[in-house]
Amino acid sequence: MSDDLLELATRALRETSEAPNPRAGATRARLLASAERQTARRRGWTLRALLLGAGLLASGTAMAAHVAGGVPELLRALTPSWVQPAAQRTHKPAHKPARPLHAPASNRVLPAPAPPASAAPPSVTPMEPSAAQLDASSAPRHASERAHSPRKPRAKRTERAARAPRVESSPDAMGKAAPATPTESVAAPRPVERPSIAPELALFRHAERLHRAKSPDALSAWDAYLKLAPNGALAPEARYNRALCLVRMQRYDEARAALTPFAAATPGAYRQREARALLEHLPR
Amino acid sequence: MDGSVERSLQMTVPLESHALGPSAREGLAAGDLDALARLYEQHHEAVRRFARRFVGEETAEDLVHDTFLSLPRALGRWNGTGSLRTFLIGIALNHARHHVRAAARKRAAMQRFAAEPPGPAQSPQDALDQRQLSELLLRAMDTLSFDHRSAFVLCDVEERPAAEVAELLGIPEATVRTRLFHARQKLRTALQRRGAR
Repeated sequence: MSDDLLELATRALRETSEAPNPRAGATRARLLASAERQTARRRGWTLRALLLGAGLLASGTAMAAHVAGGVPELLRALTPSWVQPAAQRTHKPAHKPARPLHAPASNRVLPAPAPPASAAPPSVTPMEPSAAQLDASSAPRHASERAHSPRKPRAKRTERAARAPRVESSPDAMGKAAPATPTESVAAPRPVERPSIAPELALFRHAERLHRAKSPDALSAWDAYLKLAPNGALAPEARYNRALCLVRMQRYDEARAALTPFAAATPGAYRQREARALLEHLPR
Repeated sequence: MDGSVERSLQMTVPLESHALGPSAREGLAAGDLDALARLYEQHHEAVRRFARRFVGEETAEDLVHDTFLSLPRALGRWNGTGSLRTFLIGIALNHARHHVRAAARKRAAMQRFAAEPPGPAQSPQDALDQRQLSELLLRAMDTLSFDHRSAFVLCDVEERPAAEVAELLGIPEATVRTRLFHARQKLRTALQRRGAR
């Protein structure tokens, strides 16, 4: 009896839930009002985040510029020296102290270093490297080499200066030529380029219009979309609609080949049932 | 070509029926209320049916509302394969966790404050009409865990194939059958107990 009761109750629940609900319209209105509030709230948060970010950026830039001694100095300080042309690098301000790259030589186990002739005090700015420095700095500096080489307060800057002629004459790591003009060196960073999906969408819409109009050009339009975006977001729809075009054009063998992957998918997959039905009814 | 093939051909081109076209998807992501309203018109009956079967009348409308409200954001997780309607049922299932408890509390409260106490046991076919049977089953379902309830409603009430339910719930088919078996056993026991009060 409990089996009957369960079956009866299950059927009753199924059938009573089919009855139309007079509250459907009220739910729709409530949904749209909630969605509108949600969108407005999200836009408000986005605007607030943008304003906050802009404010932080502006105040941070102003502070950094103040510390650096003005905006041009700040920009020069931010630009890597290998980007700056040689002429700019000679005009370093005298008051800017040199910062050693590594720990002072006294902290390392080194032979007693003899300060080289080119190790000038911070107030002097010798930017033209000697031939000896060029030879010494052109080889890659591994940790072991660095440990055994004399430490100079301005080693980093002179190294970069020494390497600059070599870098300028060859492409940088990205395979592009280093900028030669001052304006290029202070240019804003290139934004990350993401591939646009606008061409893909345009092709899809074009093919869809032709398909709805049952145009004979629909097939080639679907082919064009699939050539551009074989793994695009709408590739399954495109492939299925292409199969339908083949059916309309009575190219049944090709249609069968195109429909078979859909029909062979797991039950419930996209167009699985429709593809199976079509395959059963296609003329031999 | 015979009529059945033609009818199949006519089913597919409108993207907004089973799939979701790029224009509708863009509209939803941008907060286009018209796009949301159109999708509601197309799918609210199916979602409401599921909601009434899963949580009952008490909170079905809330579940429908929450399902469609979260659709624009949930679309980011959808890979576009399968039916949009099935995807909506999946969203409703996720939201149902929060509504099942509320609905069960309401039903329990309604029963406590009911005007007349339930009568003595009678033959189900004689005493109980459709609505009462549904209420009885919903109260029995309140004793099930969420997992057992999901398996029972999707398999027995909604009559979906086990493979589809497995995909919806993200579990193996064998697990669906096991949960269904246990759900039916518990429901039989609960119905017997309630029917005898």
